[in-house]
Amino acid sequence: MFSTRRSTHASALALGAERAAVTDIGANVTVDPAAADYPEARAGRARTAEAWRTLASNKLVLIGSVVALAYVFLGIFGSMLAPYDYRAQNLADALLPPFSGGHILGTDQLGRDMLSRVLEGLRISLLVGVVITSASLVVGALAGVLAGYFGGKGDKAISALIDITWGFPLILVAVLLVGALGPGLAAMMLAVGIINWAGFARIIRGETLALRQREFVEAARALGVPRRRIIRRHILPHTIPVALVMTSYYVALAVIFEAGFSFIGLGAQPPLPSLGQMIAEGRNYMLVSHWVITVPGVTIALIVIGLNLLGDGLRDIFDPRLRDR
Amino acid sequence: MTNRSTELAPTVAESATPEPPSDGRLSVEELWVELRLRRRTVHPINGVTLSVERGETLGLVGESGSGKSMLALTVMGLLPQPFSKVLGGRIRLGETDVLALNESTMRRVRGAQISMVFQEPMTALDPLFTVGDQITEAVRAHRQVSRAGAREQAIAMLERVGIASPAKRIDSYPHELSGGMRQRVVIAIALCLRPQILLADEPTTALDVTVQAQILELISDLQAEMNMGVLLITHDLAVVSQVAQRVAVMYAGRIVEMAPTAELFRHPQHPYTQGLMRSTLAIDRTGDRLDVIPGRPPDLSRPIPGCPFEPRCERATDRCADEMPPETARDGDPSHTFRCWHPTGD
Amino acid sequence: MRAKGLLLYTGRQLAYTVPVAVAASVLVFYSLRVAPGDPVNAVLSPLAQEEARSALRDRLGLDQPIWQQYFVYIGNVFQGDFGTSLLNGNSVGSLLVEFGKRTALLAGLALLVTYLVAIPLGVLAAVKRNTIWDQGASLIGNLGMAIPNFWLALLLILLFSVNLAILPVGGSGSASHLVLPVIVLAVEGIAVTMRVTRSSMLEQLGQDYIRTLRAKGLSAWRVVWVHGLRNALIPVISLAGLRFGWLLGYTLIVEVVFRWPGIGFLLVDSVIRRDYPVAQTLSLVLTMTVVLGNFLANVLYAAVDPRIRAGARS
Repeated sequence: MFSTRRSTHASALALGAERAAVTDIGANVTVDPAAADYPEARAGRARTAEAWRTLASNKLVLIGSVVALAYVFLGIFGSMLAPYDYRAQNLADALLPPFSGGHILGTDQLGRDMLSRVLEGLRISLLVGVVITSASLVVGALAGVLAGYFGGKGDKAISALIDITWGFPLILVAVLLVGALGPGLAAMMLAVGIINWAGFARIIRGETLALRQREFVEAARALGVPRRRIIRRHILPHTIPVALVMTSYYVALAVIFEAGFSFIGLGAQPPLPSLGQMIAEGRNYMLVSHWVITVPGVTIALIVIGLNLLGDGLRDIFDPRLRDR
Repeated sequence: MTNRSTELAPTVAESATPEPPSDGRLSVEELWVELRLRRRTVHPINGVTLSVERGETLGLVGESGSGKSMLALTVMGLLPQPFSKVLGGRIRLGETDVLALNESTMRRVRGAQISMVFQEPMTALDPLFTVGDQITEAVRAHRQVSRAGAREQAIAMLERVGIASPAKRIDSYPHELSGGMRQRVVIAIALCLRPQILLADEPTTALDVTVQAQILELISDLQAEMNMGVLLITHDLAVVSQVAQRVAVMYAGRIVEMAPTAELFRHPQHPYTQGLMRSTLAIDRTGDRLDVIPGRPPDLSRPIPGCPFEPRCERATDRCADEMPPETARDGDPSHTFRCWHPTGD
Repeated sequence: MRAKGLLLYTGRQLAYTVPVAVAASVLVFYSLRVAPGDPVNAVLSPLAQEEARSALRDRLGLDQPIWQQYFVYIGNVFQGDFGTSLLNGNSVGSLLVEFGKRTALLAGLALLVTYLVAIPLGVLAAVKRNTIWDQGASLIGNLGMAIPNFWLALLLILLFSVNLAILPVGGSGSASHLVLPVIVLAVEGIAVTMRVTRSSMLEQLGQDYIRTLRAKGLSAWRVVWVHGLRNALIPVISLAGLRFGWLLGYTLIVEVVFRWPGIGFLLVDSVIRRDYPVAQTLSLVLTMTVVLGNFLANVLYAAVDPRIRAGARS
């Protein structure tokens, strides 16, 4: 049975994707049927045009998208752009402050170029963040839609599984996996995958349940459209907005998690320069050369803020009720 | 104020707040209200004048967007802030200028002297509090009453609005009650302090037809018993014909016609009123099409110098677009007024 | 509040929770036992005699099939025997208590601070929507969620312990040792809880019943803080169950950063050093705590919202 205890709000809220309704002050103002927020009433083209307009005017989405794109771009191509080999040590040039001696972001305690290490670190966090979140999304969406649409025993089983998994602390699972698999990226990625799919599944199941009762789905069923087609053409597209919003938040979450886990030494192992690990290593030197921890720290914060803003912006776009705030 | 609670609970002590003597008449004079939304400013109320006497029911009819609910909210002082502004006019209860009251005084008026009932009974009550709690809360907000005393009053009130086994029901939660019952509770809350005026905003629209009749009858009875004035807001002419003594027709934030009920139905002067009547199904009418008023309500964000109904009116002339017609009495009868350059003359 | 409805609900929850707890314990147990490498290496050097190794293995019961090991372990747990640390021979039970106390203190304080700060701020942000209060709170919220807490910890250490030298760098022992860890731990919780409270509050303030309440002539104060907040807190409470798990996770990291000798610290330490009995039991305890926390949160949720008790959809 769908756990009514935790409404869609609670879970999405946990990741900041709150969906507040706003006082309907325009209750008795002119009702113009053409402007009614009934998506099916608008032509497809008009909808797209409006989406682009809102996208452009929404600063949050712009900033967030820019950051997200930069993140992905640097994550993929960063290692090619790096001026130095991230492993190259040069003790003579250790602990150089930023903008000195050819190192834009300075060097760490072993003389390694910070910029290069940060770029490599981005790649790792991108790996964990985006790859695993995408996998979780696919699995979670599938599970959610199937559970929501077909109901019955399958739904009960999946829901039970979701309930158990969803609230579980990622770190604990990750630590256990480290116990089983040894420290490293594998344990981390597995942990994120195991837990996060449930978050997606929950929300998407909720959406599916709601969508299933919408008139256009009923109409399709009455017409005898095969179920697979209904799901593909009517249900899935409508879950995309929610999925996108959640993906932003979840990737941010994964980034922070990866950093934290590597920080305590159980994640990416040296010489892999995970951002979190760089902070851990630099801890001893932070008194004199703060940039050793500031640079990676700011990088993480920027990525996460950008992704959160993207999520907020997407949410604002997709939830038109919030617009007249 | 004269003693109001004599029938219910003689043990209730009157609050010490002195209230000005009043004939309990609600009078709205040339009210103008503006609403500032994010992207535009609208004018839902444009020069509305009406009055509700004690003991009478005034029906306020109009389509969605005509401003009727806004009017009620303005009387209650519940306009959404900070978007709204009263641009001009007065609202008086008896001698008191309601608009001039500060919030703390207005608070004491709400619920105790002017009450309001809203449209959606299913969501009108706080789901976390029992029905009894919500009634006693209203009582104790305005009167010095003990918990036990308030509870007694609540039970009595529940009985008065027709809820069976009130002593048991008083501890029910809203979700345990049907829509009709919830609306009765809402009425109980609104009337437990015997206000002088009741504003009922589409109180039966969301209910089944049979329950509608019951609720309307209930309001009628209570009105007679408490000698209240009732402003009944609705878009349903049938409702109005049953319970209202007078009717005011509202369009685009203006009162376009006002008359005693029977008179209005027999001799509608304004084309809009006539259109409304024609577009209602009557049991003895046959035909294959429903009469419809063509067009749509006007955009209230633009000022309209003339008659707002002009674009949709088949009798309209240029003058109608330029000048707002003044209030005219039909055949010199001051109880039947309308605002039209070309009345139907029926 | 109808006690009977609540009891029934609690019973149902319990019936649901117990199998979850059992399943979790099995998973925890199993995952640690499948680790590659010989656990005895943690204690004995790889060069040690095979006799000594097999003796140790025997003592630890590692030769038996896993499911048997599980039952032996569970049996021991119920008798109060949590095993012994491979590294220093302390009884795990005593370690649990000693370290657990400190984690409880840290986490408890952080929880308290979180709710005491976040809820009023959230309500204020909602009531004074779009004013400087709201936007300021939003900003703090965003930052709080974005800044990695261990980094924040280091920055704070840098500022307060090093530059200003008014707080200790790490370890435990006095109240001042608690200040920074509690702050860092609370920050993220405050950010999330405040956002939830705010949006939940906004949603409630837009509901119809609020109109009825105001029309009754209740003061704005009462409408917001008695009615609105109570309704608004429901998702917050529901969230609390989730937060519990997260709190445990974050506590772990904070303990490591500040070298606060709590269960999280001990867990990480024991996993790294392959002290299996300790890791085993700690994982189990933490897992059970999370399950229990969820259970309690659900019951609390039902206690507050009568519709849940009735089984109706909220």
